[in-house]
Amino acid sequence: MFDVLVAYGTESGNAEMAADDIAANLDARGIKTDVKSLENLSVTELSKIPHLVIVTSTYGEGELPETTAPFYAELDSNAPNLSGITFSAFGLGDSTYNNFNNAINIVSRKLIELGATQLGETGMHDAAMGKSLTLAATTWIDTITSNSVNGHKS
Amino acid sequence: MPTKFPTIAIVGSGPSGCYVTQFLNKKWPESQITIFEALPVPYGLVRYGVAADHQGSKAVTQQFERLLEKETIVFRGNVAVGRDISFVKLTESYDVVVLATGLNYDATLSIPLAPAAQVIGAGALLKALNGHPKANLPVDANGEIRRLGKHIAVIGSGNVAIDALRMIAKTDDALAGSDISDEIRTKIDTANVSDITLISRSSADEAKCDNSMMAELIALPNVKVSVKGLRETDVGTIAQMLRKAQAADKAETEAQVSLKFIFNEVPQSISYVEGFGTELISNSKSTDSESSRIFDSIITAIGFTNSAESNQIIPQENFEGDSIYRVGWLRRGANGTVAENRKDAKAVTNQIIEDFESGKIKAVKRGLASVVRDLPVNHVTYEGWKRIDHYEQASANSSRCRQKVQDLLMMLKIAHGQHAMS
Repeated sequence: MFDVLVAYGTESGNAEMAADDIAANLDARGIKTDVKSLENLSVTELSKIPHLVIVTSTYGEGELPETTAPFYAELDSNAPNLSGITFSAFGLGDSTYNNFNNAINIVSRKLIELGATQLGETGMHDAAMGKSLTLAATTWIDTITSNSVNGHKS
Repeated sequence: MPTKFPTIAIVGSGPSGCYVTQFLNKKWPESQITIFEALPVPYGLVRYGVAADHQGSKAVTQQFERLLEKETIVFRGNVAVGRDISFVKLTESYDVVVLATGLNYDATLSIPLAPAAQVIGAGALLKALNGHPKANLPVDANGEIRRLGKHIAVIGSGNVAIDALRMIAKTDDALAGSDISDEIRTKIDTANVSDITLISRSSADEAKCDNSMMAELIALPNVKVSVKGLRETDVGTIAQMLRKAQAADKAETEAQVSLKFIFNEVPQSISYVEGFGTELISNSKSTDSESSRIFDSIITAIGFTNSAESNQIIPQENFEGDSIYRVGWLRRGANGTVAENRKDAKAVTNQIIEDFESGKIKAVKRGLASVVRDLPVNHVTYEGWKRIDHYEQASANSSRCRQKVQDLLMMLKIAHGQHAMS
C-alpha cells in the first residue's frame, strides 16, 4: 500500500511528467507513492487514500483537460463526503492565455467543498516563463513535504 | 508471454514520433528504440512549426529530452530514411517501423494564380521565422529573401492563419522570450507591415481557430481591429470578441498595425499587376459581389499536404506491411493540436502492443546493429544534439531564449565538436 497517490490530468503529457517527478521525489524520502491518471481514479477510492496529490494542467482558456474532466464530473454528481481526506495541489498553466491555472483551482475548490482538507499552498507552474517544470514540481513538493506531509503521517 | 521485446524504428522525431516512443518505452522499458531524423536536430513540428512565441507549447520538449536520455532510446539525426537507408531495409532490420514524418508542405489554393504573384505558404513562413535551415520563402533575382511589404493578406481562419498574423503583427518587445529568427524577421521586414487582412471562406461562427488563439491575437497592444462579413446570426465567442475589439477605440499612436477580418469571402483568382502588386479577386458569399484588393504578399494558411510533392524521404502511400505503422499527421491529416496527436500516438501504441501480444509481430530482428553501416558518417547522436542545443541557448541575446543555428553545415560542425563557441 502507498502513502501518497499522485493523480494527474493531462493533455500534452507535461502534467504526467510532473506527477512522475513528484512521486520520484517522495519515493526518495521513503514515502511510498502510486501514480495514476485521473481517468483511472474513481471517487469511491478516495476514502482509502492516505494522502492525495492532484496534478492537472489547464486546457484552452481555463478549461479542464479531457483526462481531468470525468473525475471532476464524478465528484460533482456523486458529491461524496470527503471529510478526513487530505490533498495537495499542483497546477500547470500558460499565462499567455486567460484564466491561468484555472483547472487546478476548480478541482481544489470542489475537493474542499466536499470536506477535504488541503495541505500546503497550491503549486503553479507557468509554461510561458520557460522555467523547468521538473524543478518547479520538485521544489513545490519539497516545501509541502517539510511543512505538512510528514506532520500528517505521524 | 514472450520474454523479449521487439526492436523499433521511429521515422521522424516530431511530437508524434516522440509520443509513440514515450508510450512504447513506458510499456516496454527494455525495448530498443531508434529514432531517425532527417535533420541534425530533433522535435520537428515542435521546434519548427509551433510559433516561436508559444514557448509554453514548445515546453513538451522537456518530456522528450528526458526520453532521449534513456539508454534504450537512440537518436540518430541527419539520417534521411528513404535516402541514406531505404524504407525496405528498415523493415528488414526492425521488428516494428513507425512512420511519423508528418505533412511537410503547405496546401495550395486551387484557383488561377499568376507565377509572379507573391504568395507564401503560412507553414513555410512559420518555419522560416522558426529558423528552419530549408524554409522556402520567395527570393528576388539576387537570391535574397523578399520583403513582405506593407499590405498583407492571410487566407484561412485556422490556428495556423492566426499564428502567421500574430508573428507578423508583433513588435520586437512582444517577442521577448521567444526563439524567433531575428535574421529572417529583419529580411522579410515585419516592422514595415501596416495592415494585415484575414480572408476567411467561412463565417466567423465557423472559423476554425481556437477561441484562445483569437483572444491572444486581438489583445496585442499594437493592433487595431476591423471586421467585415459578420452576419447578425454570428453569435459565437469569436464573433463577439471581434465585435468588441472593433468597437474599442484604440489611440492611433498605439495601434501601428491594422488587422482586418473579412468573413464569408471566397478567393477566386490571384494575379500580378506590374507596378502595383498582387491582386486578389474574391467573391462575397453574403452579398454575392466580387471584390478586388491589392496586396504586397498573400499568405495561404489552408492546411498541409505531402501530395503533389516528390520527395524520396516521404514514405510512399503504398509502403505498407504488418510491421509498418503510421501515426499523427501522416496518418490522420493535418488536424489537431499536439495534445490531440498525443492521443493518436497512444492509440497507435496500443495497436502495436496488441499486435505483438497476439503474435502478429515478433521480436526477432537485430535493429540498429543491422543498419549501423548505412548511417552517414556525420550522423548526429543525442550528445551531438545537446552540443547544438547548448550553443543555441548560449548564443541567444537577453530577449530571446534561443538563437537557432540555421545553417546545416554549421549544425553538423557544432554537433561533432568542430566549432567552438566564439
